[in-house]
Amino acid sequence: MKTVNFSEGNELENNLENIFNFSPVPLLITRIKDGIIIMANDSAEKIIQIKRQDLVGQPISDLYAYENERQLILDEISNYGKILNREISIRNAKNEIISCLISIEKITINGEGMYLKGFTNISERKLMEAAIQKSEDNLRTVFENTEVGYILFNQFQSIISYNKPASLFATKEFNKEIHVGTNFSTYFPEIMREYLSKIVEPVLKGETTSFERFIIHNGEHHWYYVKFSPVFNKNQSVDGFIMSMENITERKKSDIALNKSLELVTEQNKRLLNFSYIVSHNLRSHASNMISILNFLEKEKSEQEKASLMIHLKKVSHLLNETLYNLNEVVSIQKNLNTTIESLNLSEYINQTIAVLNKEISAKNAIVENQVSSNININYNPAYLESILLNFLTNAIKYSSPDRQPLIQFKTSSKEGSLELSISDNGLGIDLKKYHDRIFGMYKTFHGNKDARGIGLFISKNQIDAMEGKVEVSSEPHKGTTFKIKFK
Amino acid sequence: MKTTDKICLIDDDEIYIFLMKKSFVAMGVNNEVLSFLNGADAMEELIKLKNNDEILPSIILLDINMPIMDGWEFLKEFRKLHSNISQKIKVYIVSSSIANEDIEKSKTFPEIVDYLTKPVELDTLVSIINE
Repeated sequence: MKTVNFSEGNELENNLENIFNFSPVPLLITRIKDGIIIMANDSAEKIIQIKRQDLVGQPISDLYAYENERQLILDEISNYGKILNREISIRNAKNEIISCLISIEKITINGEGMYLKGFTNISERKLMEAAIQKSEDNLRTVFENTEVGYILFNQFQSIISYNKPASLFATKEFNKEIHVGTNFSTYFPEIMREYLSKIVEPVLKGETTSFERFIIHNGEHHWYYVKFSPVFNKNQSVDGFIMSMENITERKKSDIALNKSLELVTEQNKRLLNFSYIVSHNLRSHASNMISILNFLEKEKSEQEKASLMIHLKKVSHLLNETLYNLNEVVSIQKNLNTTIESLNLSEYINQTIAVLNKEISAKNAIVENQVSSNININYNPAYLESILLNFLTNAIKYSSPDRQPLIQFKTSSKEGSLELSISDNGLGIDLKKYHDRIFGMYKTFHGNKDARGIGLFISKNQIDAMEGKVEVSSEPHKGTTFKIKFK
Repeated sequence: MKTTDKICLIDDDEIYIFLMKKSFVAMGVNNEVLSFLNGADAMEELIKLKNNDEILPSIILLDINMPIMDGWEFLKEFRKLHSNISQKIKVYIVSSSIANEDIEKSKTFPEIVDYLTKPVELDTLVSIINE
């Protein structure tokens, strides 16, 4: 306890009184026994906005804005004898609440117990703090309510902060909880670390990087747009970085769907173009032959020549009729006119096809092996299946190699969850480098066979497409050809 | 056109070949006519003629859509052959196709004199032969 004696008018005391009076810190001296203000300085006058002489004689309790705060102060001072920088609110003469830090020291003046009370006005600081808090709260709200996951890292790649979407991301995709202070790399498997450090390295040099990644979760693709942005300090050097993750699965899905439909439209357009080319080309070639024949017929006098021209005219009209029939066939497939779907036994249908082509098979002394299990049923249009099998088997026999005994095999396998039928032969083969884009085109023939009409593969492909399947070909000249039909 | 000049027809349509030959007879053209059902057979014969130092056809009427070797592939092979001989050979495309892509593509071959669509009028044929 300090003892100050203000009554004796010596130099030291005068100086102390001056220090008290003109201190920039508001100071009050109150009497312990009744709380009456004994002395107040200039600064106290300013903050409380009551003249010093009016303050003196007033009870200090009037200054406390809140009774409970006063009670706490009283309890603490009686227990510990002093208070240092305790935050309280005082009420000034204008009834304004001012936030202050109060420090209290017990002293004795003229033998009587007093409190020396110093105040620091912190109301402005408080306002600033409140504003900062408010702004941080606002940012936090934005930070927490976005769909994008954010993780803030310092330059040592340790987590400083993260938001809810980020922690959801970590638990959902990696089954890991995010903790402040842990290192970036610990969240990823060992094998990914070198790759990740290559991503982070340029970011720490000030570059922004972003990429799209998918994570397979329960067989589903979850797509994320991941971005690393550097955080710069006042000196323009990198203090850390922000990693953001945005779930773009829905966008990606619609992108994929869009691409698929674009592919479909392109494919249909290509088919349409091919079709119109065929219609134009084939009908015109027959028509032009007819015109020429009729021109000759008109002028021809010899009966023998006339008869020969008539034979040719018949041939042309027969070909024209066949072309029209084929075109009609293609149109009806493409218009999906015949879409009855039944459960069909694949092996049985193959055996039927072999029986139908028995004559051709024996003529070439070919071996046809049906290796398809008898318990495989497919949902297909019966007429299409018949036509497809007949066509592929006919082709395999027709284009067999004269150098070896023809061997044709039917086999099934499972590919990407769908059934695939392969029909392979050891025949002439097709030079796919030359013909790949044309093999399923209409009226494309590759071997110069007299009876090659070039319509079979085109119709088969259309039928397979109509059943939402796929057909692929692999072949090597002089070795053989394999067609693979994927059922839906 | 000299009587020694040969005419070459390359087309997989046998009726067309028959009709063209008949047209030549009707026009009084007595020149030798070589006909082939695809580009490969024609190419084989042309190479043979060249190797035997025989005269090659001075006019080739070429179809586009053919099996084994189509008109375009034939032209690529023909270019190699043509660059080794001094004889001038005129190639005409004679096709049923009126597709723009075919007509435009034919313009990229300097060997092609003209693109004719079937049926070829006798008058046109006369002017080609007499040119």
